[in-house]
Amino acid sequence: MNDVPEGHGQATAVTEAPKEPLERRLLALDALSKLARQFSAKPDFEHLMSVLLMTLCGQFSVGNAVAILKRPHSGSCGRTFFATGRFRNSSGLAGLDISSESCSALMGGQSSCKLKDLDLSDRHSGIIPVLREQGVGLVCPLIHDDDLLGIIGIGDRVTGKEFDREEVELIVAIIDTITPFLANTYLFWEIGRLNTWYLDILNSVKQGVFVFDSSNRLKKINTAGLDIYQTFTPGISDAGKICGKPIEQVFPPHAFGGLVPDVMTSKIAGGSAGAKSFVARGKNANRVYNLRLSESREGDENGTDLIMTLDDITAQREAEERLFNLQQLADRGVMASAISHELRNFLGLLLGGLELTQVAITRGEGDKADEHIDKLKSTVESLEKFASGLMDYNKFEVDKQTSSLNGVIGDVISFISGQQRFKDITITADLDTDLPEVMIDADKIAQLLLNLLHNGADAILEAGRSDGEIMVGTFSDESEVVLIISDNGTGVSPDIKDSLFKKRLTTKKHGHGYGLVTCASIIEGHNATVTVDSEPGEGSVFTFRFPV
Amino acid sequence: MISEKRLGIETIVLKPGKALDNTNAHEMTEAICKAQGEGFKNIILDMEELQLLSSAGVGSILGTVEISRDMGGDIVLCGAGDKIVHILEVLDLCDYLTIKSKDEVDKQYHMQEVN
Repeated sequence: MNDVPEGHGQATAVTEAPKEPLERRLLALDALSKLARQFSAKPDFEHLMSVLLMTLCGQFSVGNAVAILKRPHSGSCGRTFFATGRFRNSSGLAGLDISSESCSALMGGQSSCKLKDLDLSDRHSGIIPVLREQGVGLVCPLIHDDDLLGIIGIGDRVTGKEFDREEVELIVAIIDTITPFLANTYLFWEIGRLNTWYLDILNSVKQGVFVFDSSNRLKKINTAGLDIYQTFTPGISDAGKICGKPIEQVFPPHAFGGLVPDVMTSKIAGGSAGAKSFVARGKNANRVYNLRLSESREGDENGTDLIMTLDDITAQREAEERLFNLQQLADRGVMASAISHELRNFLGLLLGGLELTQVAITRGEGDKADEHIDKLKSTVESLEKFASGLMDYNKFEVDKQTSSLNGVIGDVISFISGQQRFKDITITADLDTDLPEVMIDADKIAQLLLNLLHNGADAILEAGRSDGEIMVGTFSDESEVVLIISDNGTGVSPDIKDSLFKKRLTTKKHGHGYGLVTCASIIEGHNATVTVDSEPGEGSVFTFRFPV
Repeated sequence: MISEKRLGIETIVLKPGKALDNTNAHEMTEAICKAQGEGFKNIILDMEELQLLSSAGVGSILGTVEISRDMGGDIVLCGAGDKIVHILEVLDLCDYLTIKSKDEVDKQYHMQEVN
């Protein structure tokens, strides 16, 4: 025995012949004690379990042993399976339900049991038939702190001899002795697996995750984070070589500008913050990132860890820019349609004026004809102003002067009343005679009125009403002059009511929704407000409030 | 460290060294299973230098021997010293396991070809 390798004790479980049961028990426990010492330094649970099962096989001359363990915190469905011999490939054993219920029924209060002694007719039909079928002869529970961790099953002896009572007691003693150590090692093993699992999850996300300790040194980085680091600091591909670096080196100022001071300020202010985007300057191209800061509940005595999540939104920004350019093109289209709409309004006014002039001339009413011609001139002037305004569209401005709103309303009603469109519609003006003059751009308010009146007429026409009516009213209070335009047309459905006066919305079957674009600008130009009351089928009421 | 020598396509010699115990029983099991997986039906465990055989070491053999026998071969314990044989006697395994002297194995498997 002088040549026995260093570190190997001579007193193993079977190096000397056990003469008495007690002596054999001591030797067995001594062997397990050595096993525990060996694995306490390096808690490799899988290795430990494998050696334990082989030790049991050697001690009791069996070829097959199995340990089926519940996985902590994973419910009854999670199991871990270790086995020797034929049991290694036994899917029947690996799939066994070892929940506390099934095992307590199995054991029936015993610390171990020989399966052949159990009567299947009166209890435990669950896992016992499977264990028997797979060749398990003896089952022992692994119980720690009153919790069932799992079971150890031992196959029949290769010698064909039955286990006697002393041997069963010995097996129980061995398992009871080793169980606390198994439980602790299992916990270490499970923590290691969980750590690997969390790292896998961390590495699977596309955002770069950087965790800094309380002294602002990099503690953990995921794969995407490493990619970001390499983009601006080429040459290092090993996360281990970056961990420990101060935050200023991880995000150098030449690439990340004032990011680190900003982060430090946010950290002092309380850590967590919403997303904030910044540009990082690379040698070849810039990248845009969304930054999120949060605090980990973990940390050390000096403070908590800081988690920085960087989401590369460069492609998203580029797409947004392309979309913005497309939107500008679309806006030009919207504008063209709005212009067309306004031109049609002016043409309608001119046509109506010409018709009235023609009627006056036919009737020989020269004064009236002159009056209509004056209004036609005025309309042409408005058209000229509108055309001039187009030359400077981006500077949409209203030219406000003290004017009578009632006067503008009267002019507009006078213009439209001869038009074919309003032929079957009653237009009522309920104007407050004491209405104060207000600062308005009379031409633009006329545009607004024309749009609303045309829309009202169209809504009445669409509703097919023979009693179509449009009412225009005004009144005032101390701070406002109020203009009301109502109709009894189709009305506006509630779901789009709030979207009126926004671009490209129409309620007409053949409309394009661009007329209200101009109205919105006019309302805004007068610091006015508008509200809409409407019931589908009942009509609409538009209320404009102009500040005095 | 388990060393191995191949004798043709059916027989392989595995040598555990001076001890087969907790520290290398797992390794022995894996080596035997690997050989069986590669089709070696006869596995000779060269125990000529073996001085320490623990329960785990015995378990590594017991857990694999049936598989070799199912393949039509065996695991043969070769050149075991008296102490090792005594251990196997205590465990009542001498009739179950195939234990042979170096000479017997040499004749049967022509071990000299590789030694």
